Amino acid sequence: MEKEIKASLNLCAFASLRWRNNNNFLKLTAFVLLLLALGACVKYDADPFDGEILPRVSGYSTGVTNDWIYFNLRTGDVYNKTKPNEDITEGEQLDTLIWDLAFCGHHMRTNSGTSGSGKGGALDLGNGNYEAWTTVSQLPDDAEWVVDTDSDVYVTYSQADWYHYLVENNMDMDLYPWFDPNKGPRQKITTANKLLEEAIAVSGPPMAYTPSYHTYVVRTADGERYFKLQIVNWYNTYLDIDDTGGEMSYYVDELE
Amino acid sequence: MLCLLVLLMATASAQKVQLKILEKGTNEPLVGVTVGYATGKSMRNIEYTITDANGKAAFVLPDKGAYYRISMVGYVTLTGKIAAGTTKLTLRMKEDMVGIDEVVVSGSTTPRSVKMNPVTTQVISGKALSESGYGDLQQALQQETAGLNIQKVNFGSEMNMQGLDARHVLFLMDGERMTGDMAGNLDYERFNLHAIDHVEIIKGGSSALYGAQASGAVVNLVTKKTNQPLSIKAGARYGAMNERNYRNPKKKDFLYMYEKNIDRPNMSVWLSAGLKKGAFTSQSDVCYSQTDAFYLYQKENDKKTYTAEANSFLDKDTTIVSKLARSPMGIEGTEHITASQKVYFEPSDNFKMQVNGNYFFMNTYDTRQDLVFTQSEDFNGTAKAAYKVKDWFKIAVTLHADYYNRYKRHERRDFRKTVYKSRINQQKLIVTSQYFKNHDLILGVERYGDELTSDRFVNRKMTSRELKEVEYFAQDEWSISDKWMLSAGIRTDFSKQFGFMWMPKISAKYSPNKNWSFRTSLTKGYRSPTIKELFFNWDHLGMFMIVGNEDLEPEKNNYVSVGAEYSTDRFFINATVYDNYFTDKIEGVWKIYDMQYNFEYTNLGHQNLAGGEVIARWQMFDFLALNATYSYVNISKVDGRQLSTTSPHAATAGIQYNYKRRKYALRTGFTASYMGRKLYDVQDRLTIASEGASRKAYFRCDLPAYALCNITVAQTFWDKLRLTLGVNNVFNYKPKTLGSGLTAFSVPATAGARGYVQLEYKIDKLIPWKKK
Repeated sequence: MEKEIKASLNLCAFASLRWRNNNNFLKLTAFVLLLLALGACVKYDADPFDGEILPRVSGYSTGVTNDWIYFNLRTGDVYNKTKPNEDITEGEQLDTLIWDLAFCGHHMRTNSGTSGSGKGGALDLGNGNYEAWTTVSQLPDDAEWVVDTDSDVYVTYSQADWYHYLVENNMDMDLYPWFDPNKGPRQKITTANKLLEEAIAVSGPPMAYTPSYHTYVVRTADGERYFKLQIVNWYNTYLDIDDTGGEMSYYVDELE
Repeated sequence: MLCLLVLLMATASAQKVQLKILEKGTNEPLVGVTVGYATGKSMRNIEYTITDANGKAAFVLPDKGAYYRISMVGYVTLTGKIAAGTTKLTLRMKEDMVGIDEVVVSGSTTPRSVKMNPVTTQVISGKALSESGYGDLQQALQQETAGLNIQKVNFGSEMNMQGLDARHVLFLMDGERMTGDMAGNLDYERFNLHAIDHVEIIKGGSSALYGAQASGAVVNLVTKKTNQPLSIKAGARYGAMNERNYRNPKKKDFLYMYEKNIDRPNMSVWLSAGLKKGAFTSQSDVCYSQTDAFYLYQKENDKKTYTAEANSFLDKDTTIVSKLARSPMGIEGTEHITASQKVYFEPSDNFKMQVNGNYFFMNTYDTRQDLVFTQSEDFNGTAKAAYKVKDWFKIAVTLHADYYNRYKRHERRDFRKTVYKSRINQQKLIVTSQYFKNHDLILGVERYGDELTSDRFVNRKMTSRELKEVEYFAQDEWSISDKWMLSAGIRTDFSKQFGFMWMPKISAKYSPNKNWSFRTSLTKGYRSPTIKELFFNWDHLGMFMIVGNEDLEPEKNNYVSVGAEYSTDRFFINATVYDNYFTDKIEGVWKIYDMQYNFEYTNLGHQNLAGGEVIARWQMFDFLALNATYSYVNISKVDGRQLSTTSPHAATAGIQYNYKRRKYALRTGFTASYMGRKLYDVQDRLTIASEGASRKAYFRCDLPAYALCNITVAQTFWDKLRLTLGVNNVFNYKPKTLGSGLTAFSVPATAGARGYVQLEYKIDKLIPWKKK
């Protein structure tokens, strides 16, 4: 198609050129075609991404409301890696120290407070500057670590769970649809970390996910080690256009 | 002896008169002016010549002298008589600030001035648009026409003209249709502001001549065609950035390309070149433009007022304030290029042909960080040939096609995906005749094909849907007398889907004298549903569906208008009142079934749009011109709810100061565009805690009135170089509220007061002319 377009345009220019012996017009045609060529150029010169990507989409779209992927930052193990509730079901995470950080959609948990029995927590180091934070000694002494709570964060109901709820409570499905164009999908309260909730802002519909680019610190379940974390994007750069996201791209590194 | 006398007489009648036409004020010679002359005052058998590069034209003066009519776009037409025996005559033409002599082509077949047209036409001169320093056509139209709003939204642009959207307003380029996005909106960036000669806006059913989509209005953008041997203009414009979002993009940033694209400079460059040699004319226009993306901010949280009027279950108005702050609304930036080439071959008065090609490419940089930006590409071409058979009739054939593709391109990896493709093709055969005294006849047949390829018809699979129509139309303009003119037309639309539809139109004009005109118009229109309205079938992540309806009936409308016009050399005012009554109006409505919300296209009962409009222009002094427009529209409520987002009141006003001297001209202007308060109801759902029940509810959205004002100062040096400085939104108006939920598209997208500088150069004036 593009070849045809260029050919036709050339023909038009040439047709008028035949009746003219004007140098200026030749230059004009060349200029026009140059501009056209420029218009189609897009340069890809960004550095390749060297951070982490979540192994799968987590959260309501899998059919499970509290669908969390658990990470052990100390050993590198991942739980519920390929499907929801594969290794740890909702509630089982409370009594174990095998995980430090968990993801469900854009929500996060640390092994602390109401989410787990560990000594985890999260700290906000401010916007950007991810590279600048390298050692634990850089962390402020009076840092107030935020632990998980069960009254601040809402996760999106999976459609199956929502209709289950309607059926249990004898509510009409057509009066309480799962998604409302003015309000978005139905939400359910959960236990999660309210500080890490700010790592990515969600707005819409149409749904838009905007990271805050803050650098956070996550304390491990044993309270001994510290990892810095920065969420950079809701999407996985290797997937197709029109992918709806959820395999978040992020950086996580240990502080010495 | 007799032979000598005859010879002398013969030589005497072969006497030529040399005319020189200059511009009043600057005394610059005017090139390419049409000089019409005839022996009789009625100007029958008028002959034409054109002034050359020195503003001179010569013709053989008949014995008894001649009557002349000298005209050029943008100048007041001169009429008068050249006495017998005159050999030299210098005339000066004055710039036409009031625009009554503007020649229009839409609405009828023969070009005629606004004053003589049986249909009310608003004309906006391209020269005025370009000189007023507008950055793009959208901005220009919004400042010059009352009640027109073109809003950038997530998926393109949305247009609203006095209560009617893109489905009822037909945008044409040189009389030809264009295709764009699925909602009927076009990429309005396709119109190169600097290639436009003038814009003609005809409100109220022009369906008879232009078809179904013209049931609201027709906006015809007529492009430039040079009538000078050589004309080359180049220009550049640089404006202040809307908002700098990223100070220091680094290659390591995940969104490096996004960061660079969001902060493009606000600039454009353009080049127009026209050549005329013998029977050939060539016109080339190229324009490259960039704008940067920015955000609109709302300080307070959303407030929704559920009125008792719209919600029967409430005893009083209830306001709910949202707990969450509203996120900023991103307005996208763009980078685009348009290129057009026209070639005309007009060897004689009897035969004319032209071939046009237009190319458009645009990158749209939205503010969503989803690793994707949008690209639009368009190619359209037209071939026209017209042949005049003696003075019986003229036959014209037009072939036209417009191919539009939209893509999504990845922001980190080099690949793109086609989102949809739209193809239209049109063949027209038109016969016009002025053979019958005082009648202007037009007969035509038009075949139109529309094909849309998208993944929104069959879930996630690219499939095509098409519509074909054959339309016949006829119109007669009968100049009953000096004072009365009657125009009657009819169009029939035959489509496979809906069979035969008839669209008749009658207009009448009564001009008791040369100052006054009274017009009335009655039309009946049909609009068959678009491909999108019929076949759309799209599931958005299981959240909601957008559903077409194959059982849709065509929309019908009845339009009536009455208007009065008064004009003199220096003053023009036109006032029109109208009523547009729609039945089976097609609208998208949210309905809940299949356990989810569905946005479904349905035929609503009826809707009435009634209103009035005033357009006025006053050349108060030679150096001062004022203009104003006002529009009022009342849209009927549905069950006590105002669902239309249109504001009832809209107005524009402008004042212009002109100073002309030899080798220098100054033009200073101030324009204001006012949009009245918007009060409308939005469909929603409320759960009443005490009742435990969920109900369909409507909240009222209240957007305040606002005015956007621009100031420009343009200076022209040696008639070659023009420097324009200006400030847009000079009083720095920024919307305080963005609406709520889905209503966010009704606020003006402005970042505040922004300045710009523009430079234009007439390159052809550099080329020394060989004197004949």
